[in-house]
Amino acid sequence: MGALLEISGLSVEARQGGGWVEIVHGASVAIHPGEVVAFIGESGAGKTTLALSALGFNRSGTRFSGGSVHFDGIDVLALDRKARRDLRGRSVAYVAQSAAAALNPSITIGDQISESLRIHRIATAQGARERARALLALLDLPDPDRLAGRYPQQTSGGQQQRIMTAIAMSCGPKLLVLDEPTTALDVTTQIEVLKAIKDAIADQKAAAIYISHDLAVVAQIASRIIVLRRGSLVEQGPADEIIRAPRHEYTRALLSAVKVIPEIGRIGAGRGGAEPKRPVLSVQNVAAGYLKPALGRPLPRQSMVVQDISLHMAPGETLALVGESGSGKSTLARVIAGLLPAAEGDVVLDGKVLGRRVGDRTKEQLRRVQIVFQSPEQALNPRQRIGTAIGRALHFYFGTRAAERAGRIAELLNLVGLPAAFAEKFPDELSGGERQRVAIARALAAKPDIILCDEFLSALDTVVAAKVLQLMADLRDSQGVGYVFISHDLATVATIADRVAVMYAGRIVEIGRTADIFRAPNHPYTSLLIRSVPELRTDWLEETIGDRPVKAPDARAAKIAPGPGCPFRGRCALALPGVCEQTPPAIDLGDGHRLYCHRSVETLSAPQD
Amino acid sequence: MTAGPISLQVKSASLRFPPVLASIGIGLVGLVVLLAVFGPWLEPQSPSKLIGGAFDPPGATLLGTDVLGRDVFSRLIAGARLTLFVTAIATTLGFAVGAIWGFAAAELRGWFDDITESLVNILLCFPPLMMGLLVVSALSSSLPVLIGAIAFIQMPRVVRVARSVAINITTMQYVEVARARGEGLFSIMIHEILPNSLRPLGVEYGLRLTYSTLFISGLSFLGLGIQPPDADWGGLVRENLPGVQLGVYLPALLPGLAIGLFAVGLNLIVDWLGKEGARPISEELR
Repeated sequence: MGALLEISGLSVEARQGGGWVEIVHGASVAIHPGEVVAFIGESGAGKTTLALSALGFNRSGTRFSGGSVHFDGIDVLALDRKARRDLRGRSVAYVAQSAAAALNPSITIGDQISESLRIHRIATAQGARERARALLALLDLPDPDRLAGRYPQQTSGGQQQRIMTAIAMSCGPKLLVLDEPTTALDVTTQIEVLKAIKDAIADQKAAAIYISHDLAVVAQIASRIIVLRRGSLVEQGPADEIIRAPRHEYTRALLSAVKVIPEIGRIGAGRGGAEPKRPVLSVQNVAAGYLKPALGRPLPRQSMVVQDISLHMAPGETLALVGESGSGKSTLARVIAGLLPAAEGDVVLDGKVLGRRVGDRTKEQLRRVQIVFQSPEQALNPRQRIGTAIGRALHFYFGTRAAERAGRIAELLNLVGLPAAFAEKFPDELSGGERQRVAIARALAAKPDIILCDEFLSALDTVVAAKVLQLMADLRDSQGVGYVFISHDLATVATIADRVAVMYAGRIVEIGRTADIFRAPNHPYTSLLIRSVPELRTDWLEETIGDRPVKAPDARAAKIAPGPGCPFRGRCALALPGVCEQTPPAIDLGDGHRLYCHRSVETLSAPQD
Repeated sequence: MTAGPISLQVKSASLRFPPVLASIGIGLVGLVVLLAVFGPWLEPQSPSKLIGGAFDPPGATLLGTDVLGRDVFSRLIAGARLTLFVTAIATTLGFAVGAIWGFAAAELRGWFDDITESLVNILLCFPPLMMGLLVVSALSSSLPVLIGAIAFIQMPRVVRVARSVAINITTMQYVEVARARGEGLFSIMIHEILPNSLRPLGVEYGLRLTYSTLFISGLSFLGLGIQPPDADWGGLVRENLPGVQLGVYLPALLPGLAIGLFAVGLNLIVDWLGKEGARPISEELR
């Protein structure tokens, strides 16, 4: 059988300065009908550029400069505008990374799915509606009839990603291009979306290109993997072969960057003991939310985003806060930093209760707790040189004079593995990883006791993130700084955290040493999180999803469980009706390992499947 | 994933020279500024000296004489100085107060922002000219009052623009970091918000200059602005109006034309500033 898509010797150039620079260098790829092929590599490897050529699409500022693309025997690059438009959507369809940005908020989901059917005149209005419903059902979305009439923003992130896939599949294309469809999702959601997409592709007998930087994800869905680096094919082969026996050095580097769960303390974590006796930082019964209180009236409990949070950190300790988006991790970090005043409870630094707002804290107190954020694009003021950004912190806390600042800035840059010459650069000249290093350097300028890291590595590629993580571990050892490490990614956390607090819907459901968290007994939500981290074997998805006790239905409806009671009861497979509406008791398992559940230790210790 | 090619595309924009229209704008505005600055040396006569009969035609003097027999060319130059002076001071004043206020509203939010919003809405309800007339006739037509009135009328629009520009900046994480560091309101305004809002605010400043010019000219034309014997361009049009009935157009026409050309010139520059943009900051700042 001939190839469905045949890209041969394709080169793509991008405009740079006055001329053109080649960004894809003569790549050749063949994809057969019904085959799922993964393009893998870090940012800028040319994955998307190459995959989009199947649609005859070049992004603005780029051009095809050599080679050919044949789809089903047609020379795609030679097609005129109209013929290309006919090809797109009907025969080849694209699923973009960010569903929230790709879906139109003012058109119902059903209409968006049937849109391309009508544009390509494939089905009547009635037929299109039925097809839309069938696709929603195929992608495992709840209540397709109602969903078709709703708007995208009324659904959750995981659902939006599946809706995008349904739109792409509407015309029954022979090839789907999926661009990092699960990258932005929580692990627990990712697993469901992955399964739904995989089944739908198989059901429609479509071929697919699955773009990702995550090998473990790709292993679940692709039969063949193509590794790209800097616009060239590095290695390709059957998925299990690439994973078991990678030949190229770069593939091996990618593989080693994959987070595999019980690799606890891989970079020197897990040293910590039980709960510290003399904590440097404590959070005591904190509750906080974003509503403003009406004059003289306390806020209702339901409006709180985090509730009853108590944590204690030893000096130099790394405490991880883990949970899916909306669990209140970042809110807690903002409360600790004083950016969001707590409605109840206290943050205590070295025995002294801190003011609730930044303005109520002394400069010395502020110096000791620094915060770094997720987004490399927003981490640095685009109009400040790197040296100015770091120098500002030095000047602010220590009054360092301009003359001495230069030396100290060079030292700090050196500490985070950047050359001193970077002080003269502007943020737009730096890569994402470099910017995050600068953000650490700026935080370290204050000589803090604690750095709050809010999803600090989430926006970075696995390989880059692994390097920054190593750097952070080194700094912890050399500078004695402690981290509050906030992440939705349990696997990253396992490699660096001494202790882990698992959060759900604004409460801590389990806390303990990293090793204890990864060992039963666990809170049912913790088990769900642990089992949702993809493993590097091709049969993991089938094995896991088959015996999955905890369903995540319409996550949004189930998530918010205000008032007393276990916050997780709406999604818990072990929920006891009539019991879980009460506030769950703390189960103390020793060594500071506590979880909050009505079930007995025996039940929770049993393998939960 | 998309970072690679797209950032390359942006970097391709290199240093651009002003296009034709912008060059015309720069020429027009530059000429007026030069006239205003070097006026005392350029005026052939003292602008208040009577040198001939009323409405003498050009010949003995470059552009003839005005209604009282003063040199039209000298008065035009003196008018440029007055117009520009009032425009620049009033706009800068209104702009400085408006920008600081808008920045503060964006950074502080809460009740301060709410009050700002309501106040700005109320102020914007009054037609500017009517408010100007009200202030000037209630107080006086002295220079400080005129400048203050124009600054005050410009301010609410500036507050609104500055606030909306700043709100996009204050949600950035680098501002959050500065806040968490303990930086005060003014430090955040100067180091974080101001440098990142210069371009949109620069465009707004240019527009405000145009409005101020038109505004002071309008007030003077109505006789409520600069008082005789001094005259800005609007005042010059007013005092030479009788000439139009006598068929002597130049003394009234020229200052009117000057107002128009200066406003057009400013607008051309503003247009260009607005379109230029999109260059990587590292290149722009070097």
